[in-house]
Amino acid sequence: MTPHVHDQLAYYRDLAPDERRAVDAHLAGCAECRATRDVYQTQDAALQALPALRPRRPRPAGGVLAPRRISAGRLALTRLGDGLTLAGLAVLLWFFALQVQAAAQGGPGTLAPAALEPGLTLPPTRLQPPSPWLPALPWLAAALLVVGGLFILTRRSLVPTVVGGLAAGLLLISFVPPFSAAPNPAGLYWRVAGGYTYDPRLPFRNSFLIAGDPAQTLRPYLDELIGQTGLTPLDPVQPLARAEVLQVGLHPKHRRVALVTTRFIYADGSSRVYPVPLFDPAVDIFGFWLSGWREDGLQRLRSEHLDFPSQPFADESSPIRLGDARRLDLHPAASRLDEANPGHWLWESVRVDRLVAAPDASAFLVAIEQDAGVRQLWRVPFDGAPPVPVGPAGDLQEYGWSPDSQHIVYTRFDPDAAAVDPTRPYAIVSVARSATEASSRAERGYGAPVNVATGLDTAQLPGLTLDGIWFFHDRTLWRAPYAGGAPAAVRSDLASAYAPRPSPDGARVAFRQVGQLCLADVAGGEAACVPGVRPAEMTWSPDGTRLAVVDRDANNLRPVRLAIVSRAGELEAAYDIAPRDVTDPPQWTPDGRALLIQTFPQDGRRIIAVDLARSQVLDLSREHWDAYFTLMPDGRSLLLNNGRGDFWQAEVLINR
Amino acid sequence: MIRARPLTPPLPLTSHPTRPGGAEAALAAEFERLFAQYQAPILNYLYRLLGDPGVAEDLTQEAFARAWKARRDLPGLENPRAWLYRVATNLARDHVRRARLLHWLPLFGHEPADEADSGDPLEARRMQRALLKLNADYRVPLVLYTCQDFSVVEIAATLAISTDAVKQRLVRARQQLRDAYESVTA
Repeated sequence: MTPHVHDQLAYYRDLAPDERRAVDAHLAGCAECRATRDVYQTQDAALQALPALRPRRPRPAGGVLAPRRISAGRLALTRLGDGLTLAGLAVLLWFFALQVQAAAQGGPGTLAPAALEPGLTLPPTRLQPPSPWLPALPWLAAALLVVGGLFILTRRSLVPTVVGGLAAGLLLISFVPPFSAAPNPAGLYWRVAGGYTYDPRLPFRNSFLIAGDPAQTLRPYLDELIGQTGLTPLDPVQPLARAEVLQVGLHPKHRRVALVTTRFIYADGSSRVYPVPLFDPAVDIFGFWLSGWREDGLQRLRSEHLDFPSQPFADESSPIRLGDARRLDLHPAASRLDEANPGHWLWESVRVDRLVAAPDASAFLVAIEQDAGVRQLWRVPFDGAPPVPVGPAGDLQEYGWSPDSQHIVYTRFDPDAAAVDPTRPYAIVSVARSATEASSRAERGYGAPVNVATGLDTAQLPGLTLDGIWFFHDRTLWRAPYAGGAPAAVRSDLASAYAPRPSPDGARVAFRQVGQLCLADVAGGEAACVPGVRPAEMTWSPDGTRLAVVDRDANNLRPVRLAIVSRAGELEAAYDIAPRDVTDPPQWTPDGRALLIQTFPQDGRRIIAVDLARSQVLDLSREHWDAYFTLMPDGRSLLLNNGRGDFWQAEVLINR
Repeated sequence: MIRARPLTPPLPLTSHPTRPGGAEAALAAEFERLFAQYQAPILNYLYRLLGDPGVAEDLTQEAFARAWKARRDLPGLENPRAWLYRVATNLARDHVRRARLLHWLPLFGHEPADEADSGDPLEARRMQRALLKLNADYRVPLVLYTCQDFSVVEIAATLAISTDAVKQRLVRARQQLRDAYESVTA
């Protein structure tokens, strides 16, 4: 069968002469076929005009040509690249699938950045935690895509393979144990820059920076707290159900401290994230290779809580006891002020800060140790406003409020004074409350501190009354205005006197003289001393009729007593409040019928109540509290803190 | 669609001559002549088939690598050109089969310096795109016929199909190319 002319045009060049003549004859009378011929001729011209390639490699001059082959290795690399890239895409799909699954279960919030903010309590949730691989999947996918892409590029050049190989080697020695235990650039960088963290649930970490396994070190200690209640990181009501380690990292400032960020999950499903410090590594090779963490920030919570013979624990029938603690709704920054406070990390550091509530109950003071010998005083409002730093960070000593709450007064080490006379290195500083408030609005700095006096030989807090700031200097009792200016000499005949405590009416003053308690009229006259009372801390009752004195032997040769001394200087009563060691100043209830004293016996932290009406001493502290406190001005509650973030309030229940 | 086919062996040999000493040098010289004569045509054939200069270059190298391995048989080939083009065509088919599973866009464009001067670059690009739209069974004979100046008989020998099949494919190739070109220009 003879093909149609229309088809023969497709291979016109190969037609036999007679076929070609027949086609030509047909074309002469058929416009449609002529049009088709024109199209094919155009196609031929266009195809022949397509750009041509010149061989990239010129022929070698002379000799036998050795053809450049596509090596099997290079082809394999290309295919490996395809495979890795496919794997990267698969990982991405896996990631999205997990995300969708998590969203379907309503659980992505458990991984939201806010949820990882230490100190934040989440609403109750009973979801299983998402896979730890979830946050790692995007990185894994990116790595596979990059490596796959590099292999694909090797079709053209081996440079990407070399670069990729170097990068892979760098990643291997930086993140994959045991290779990462060797000195590596990433470890050196983080050692200098700080801030290294890793997820202990994933098999990647820089063992050069953090050797061993801090998470495993902490695990048995966390297990000991299961089922317990207490203050941070425990909950005062809900027992701890479980604890999950989320992250391990180096402390940003303290190079020999690892922080194990842990989510504490309580019985009702609520949770809290707290970075548990691990410190004192047994192995420390030039600060780079740290291993064998011997101390942790929870050990004080694991100690047995026993009462002392003269200070039994309060119970339901006690005249004074505490209600359950509840978390104060302060500004989030305030709740995190001291959660990683190195001052709380050692057993020996039992008294590192003190809470002092303002007399008008508007705020409280707390000092945070930023580094060895560097403390920052903070004013924390109760109304949820951000905390405000008071004065510069430095060698802060003691601090308190003026009775009208308008001034904050603190003592500090003054290097300038120490340079003049090393035996008189201390200064008294006053900061107006308005200054701190204005600075919090304007520049978030501290107010303008006013140096009231310097060159003092004691860091004890001066006496604070409405009349001014009272202190001894050169045998003279001085009274200085809070706003600064020249102090006025009150009495100049009290030799070797320290720590003046003027009565609220400013008529009497108690002080320590040659190791004993003395009282005198401000206006003049002989001082009356109380024999056998060695005053460590003193506080006047609100009505000014009695003085509560912590009577303590500096060598701990006898128990610590609380002495109640009349305005005239007569010893009215004495109570054993601790077997030994320092205390904070006693705090009177507003009705003057009881006192609360923070004691630190045997490195513990106790809340001692003395019921003067019943002559009874009680220990109000509880197991796993490990708390400091201050009595609120209304006397109805205690403000509590245990150096692990958060501030708590517990009602004072008085059963008369 | 391209049907996956195993690589067919070289065209039938007329003989297997044995050579005395120095025969290896003669074989190399024969290969070098073949290489010099067909390197650029094979390269451009693959380029027009696949539209990727990098791939065309790699496959050209592979084609001649196979020719080098078969250099002892080259002198006995009835039609070395057809043999080379069949090898190149099979390599192109293998490549397209792999690329169909996962097609990667070239990350780097081919260097313009490698391309010989051509006419209207836009027009050439359109025609190349239209050509790549063709079914590969039609694209191969059309390229061999128009660009490589193969006869129908040579195409039939190269592709191991009948001359009637070649003619039929050329007809359909031209019709598809016309439609593809119109869609590209549209």
